[in-house]
Amino acid sequence: MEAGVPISWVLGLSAILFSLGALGVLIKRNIIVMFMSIELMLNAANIAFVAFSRAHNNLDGQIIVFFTMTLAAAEVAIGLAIIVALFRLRRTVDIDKARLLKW
Amino acid sequence: MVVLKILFLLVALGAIAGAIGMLSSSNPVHSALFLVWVLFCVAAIYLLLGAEFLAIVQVIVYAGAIMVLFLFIIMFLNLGRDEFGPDQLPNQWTWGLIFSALLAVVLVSIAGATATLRFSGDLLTLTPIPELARTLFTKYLLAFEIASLILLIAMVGVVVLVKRRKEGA
Repeated sequence: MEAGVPISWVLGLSAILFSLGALGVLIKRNIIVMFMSIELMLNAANIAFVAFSRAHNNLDGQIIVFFTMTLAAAEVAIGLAIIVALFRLRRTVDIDKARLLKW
Repeated sequence: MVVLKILFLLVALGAIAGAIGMLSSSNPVHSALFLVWVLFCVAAIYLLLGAEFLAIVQVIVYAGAIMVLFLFIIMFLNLGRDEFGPDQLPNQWTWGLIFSALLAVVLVSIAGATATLRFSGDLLTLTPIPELARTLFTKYLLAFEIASLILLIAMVGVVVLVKRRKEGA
C-alpha cells in the first residue's frame, strides 16, 4: 500500500524549521529568543530522526530523540541559569551588549 | 491516505507559521507562546509518524517543563518589554535572511534527494512501547545511565551558577 506522506515532505518540514531557527539565532538580539531558536533547531533535527527511524523501521532513531529531549532539558536549565547570571551582571539581555570576554 | 497528506500539510503549515510568528514578535512572552504552539505541532507530527510515546514526552517535557521554565525566567527577569538601544550591527537582518535562505535551499534540496526512500507500511501504525523500552533498557542502558548523570550535573550546575555568593566569603 502506498504510504500517505512522502518522507521528503517530512524532511522538508524539518529543513525549513531548522533554517527558521538559524535565522532566529542570526537576527535576534534578545538572548532568550535566541535560546528559543536553538530549541527550534533541536526539534527540527528530532523530526528528521523520527522520519528516518520510521522509514528504516528501526527504533534507534526514536531512542536518540528521547536522549535529545533529556539533554535539551539539562541544556535549558544551564542556559537559563547563565542568562540569569548575565542579567545580574549587566542588567540587560541584549546580546550585543555582552561583547567583552571578561568584565 | 489523502486525508493523511492534508492533515500533515495543515500541521506543517501551522508549525512554520508559529516559527515565523516567534521570530517576528518583539515581546519575548509572545515568542515563548508561539514556540509552545510549534512544539505542539511537532508532537502532532510525531503522532502522524506513529511515534506516540515521543509525542507524549514532547508535550510533557517540552511544552510542560521546558517552556514553563522559559516563561518563568522571562517573567522573573521582567522582560515583558523590549528596551534595546540602537542596533550596533547594521544589516544584521539582511545578512541573516540571506544566509538562512541559503541554508534552507541546501537542506530542502537534500530532503528532496530522499524522494526515493519510502515509509514502510502504514504510517499510522503506532510504535509498540514495550519494544521501545526493551531497546532503551538493553542496547542503550549505558547511555540511559549517563543521561541521568547529565541531569544531575545540570541540577548542581544551575544551583552553583545562580547562587548569590556571600560578601567576603
